[in-house]
Amino acid sequence: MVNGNGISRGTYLKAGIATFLLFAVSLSIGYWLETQEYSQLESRISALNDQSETSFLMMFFLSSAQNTSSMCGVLRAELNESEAEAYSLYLALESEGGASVIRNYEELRRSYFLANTRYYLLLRQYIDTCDDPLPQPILFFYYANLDCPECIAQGKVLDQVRYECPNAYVFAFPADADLKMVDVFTTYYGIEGAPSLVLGETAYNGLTTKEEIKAKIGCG
Amino acid sequence: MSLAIKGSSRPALTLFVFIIIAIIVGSLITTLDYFWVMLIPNLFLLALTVTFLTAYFEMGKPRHLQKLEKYPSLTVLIPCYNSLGTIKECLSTAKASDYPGEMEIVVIDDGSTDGSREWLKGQKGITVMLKEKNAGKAAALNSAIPGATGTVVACVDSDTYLEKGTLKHAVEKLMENKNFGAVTCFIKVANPDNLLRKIQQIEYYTGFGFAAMVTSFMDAIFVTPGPTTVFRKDALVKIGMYDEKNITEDLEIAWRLRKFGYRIAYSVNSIVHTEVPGNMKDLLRQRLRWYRGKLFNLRKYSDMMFNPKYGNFGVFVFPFSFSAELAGLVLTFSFGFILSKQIIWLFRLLNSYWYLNSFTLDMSGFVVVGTSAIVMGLILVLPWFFAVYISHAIAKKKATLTDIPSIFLFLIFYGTFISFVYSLSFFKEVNRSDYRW
Repeated sequence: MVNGNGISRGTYLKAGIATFLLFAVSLSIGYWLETQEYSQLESRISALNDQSETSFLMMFFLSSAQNTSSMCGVLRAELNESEAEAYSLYLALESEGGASVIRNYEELRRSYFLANTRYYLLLRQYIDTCDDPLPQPILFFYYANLDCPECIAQGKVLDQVRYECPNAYVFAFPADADLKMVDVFTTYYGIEGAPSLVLGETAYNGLTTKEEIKAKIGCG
Repeated sequence: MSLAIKGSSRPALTLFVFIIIAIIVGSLITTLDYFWVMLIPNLFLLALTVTFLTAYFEMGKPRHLQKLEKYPSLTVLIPCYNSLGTIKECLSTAKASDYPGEMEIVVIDDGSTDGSREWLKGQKGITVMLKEKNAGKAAALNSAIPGATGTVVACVDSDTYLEKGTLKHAVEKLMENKNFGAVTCFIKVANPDNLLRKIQQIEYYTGFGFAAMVTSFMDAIFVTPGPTTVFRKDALVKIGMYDEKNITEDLEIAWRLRKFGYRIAYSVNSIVHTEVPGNMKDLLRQRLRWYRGKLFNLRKYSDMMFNPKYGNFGVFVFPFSFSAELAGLVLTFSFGFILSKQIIWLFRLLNSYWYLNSFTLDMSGFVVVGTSAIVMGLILVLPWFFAVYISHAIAKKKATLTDIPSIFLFLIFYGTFISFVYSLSFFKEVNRSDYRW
């Protein structure tokens, strides 16, 4: 019906539908793009979790085995590889999760956190079981959901430490995640915020320089 | 024109309104995230653009105008204030018009001090009215309208140049329907000689070409632009001519014509070329006047909002045109939040690097949105891009590679500037700051 002004109500309807469709298409494409990135991360974290299960079984076997020396070498190699993947996942998770406007990365963060915790505990157990004092675990607490440029700067320093010190094993944990295990860590080590580091059994709240970290872990 | 109306400053109220809006937008950002807060107002503008595009494809090609058996007498009124640099060409193009009927040209000098008066006095074939005191464009026109000999009056700015057939086509359109009180023209930029003017050229193509054509089809033309509009003299007299206390008299008179039941038509073949600001300061001043005038007149004509009595103008074009103001406010505040947040973020990052004695150029974490948001934004810009393309076609201007920077800047950044000016106008209006021409 033309309403006497050269334009019909149908025109408004068509325009409304076209606007809705355009918005729906853009939303779908955005969702698809984010799902692609999300799925990639999801499968990497899932693989990390599977790998951690295997490593746990290896450690379980190691604790009951007679000859540990050959197994310790295998486990150390396994831990090296997994720590590198876990750290690279932390970087990807934070950059993609932070830029996401549709998908929620909380679930992935939890899953990642569990795998990372397992590796941290494995490393501690490995150090005891294999009597290898060389590996130095570094716990890095950052804020995932709060703006924390200091955490980014600290992360860059840890990148350098990892590059320069083969004995450094960095485990990144979101201090603001709603996870019981995070509470356990923060309470146990006395973490007061982010960025914070745990070197050995000592917590360092706030920024820590590369030189300080290297000195604490006996690198260079 | 260098006129001013004294306002009444209300800083406390302005600050209060500012804080309230900041709290609302800030809360929305905290709840929904920047992307969604900035997307919502853009969706209103998108709906407006898509409706215009849909109407454009429904209206078909504009009909050829019928030549008239007898052309009515026409008076061209040119108010002039310190326009020595442009009045010569303006007058020469007006004189060169091929208007078939009787035509008189009246130039009203509004107290110029730049030598325009002396130059005008020596001109033949025109009537010159000399006013001693500068009283503004509306007052200048009002002083000349009653004495105009034409039954049709063309109001032409002194920095606007007509094409040969501009007036003829406009009058042909005006005579098509006795309810037409005015006919607007296709205004183009006369001097697209720098990037800012080139961007405005695209804006004029879309505003005075595409949008004017579509709103004319909807019988919802928003403004009778100052550079050139052709009126029926009796309509002008009946509605009481121009409002001399109004900073956007061309907008106000268009809305008043509607109030009195007149329709406003558009003639795409009536092309005029007008001078536009060449620097940001002048552009800001011009736009502040335009947008403040729009808000000021909204108060005066608020009863037209959503009023079906005024057809598509009342129910769609009028309310939706203010979605641009609303979008401007939300976008400006969101942009302000992002900018201040990112500046603080950057400062904290650099401070941390300085403390750690470890600098890197890696700025990951600084990016506000990711690829998906950018892709979504680009998809939603497509209708605007299409509207720009159509506007070029209407203007018979072939876009070349050299036009890409101005089109890109128009689509991506010009809106941000306009949003900022909308917001500034809004707060100046809340504050009741002085009005300046």
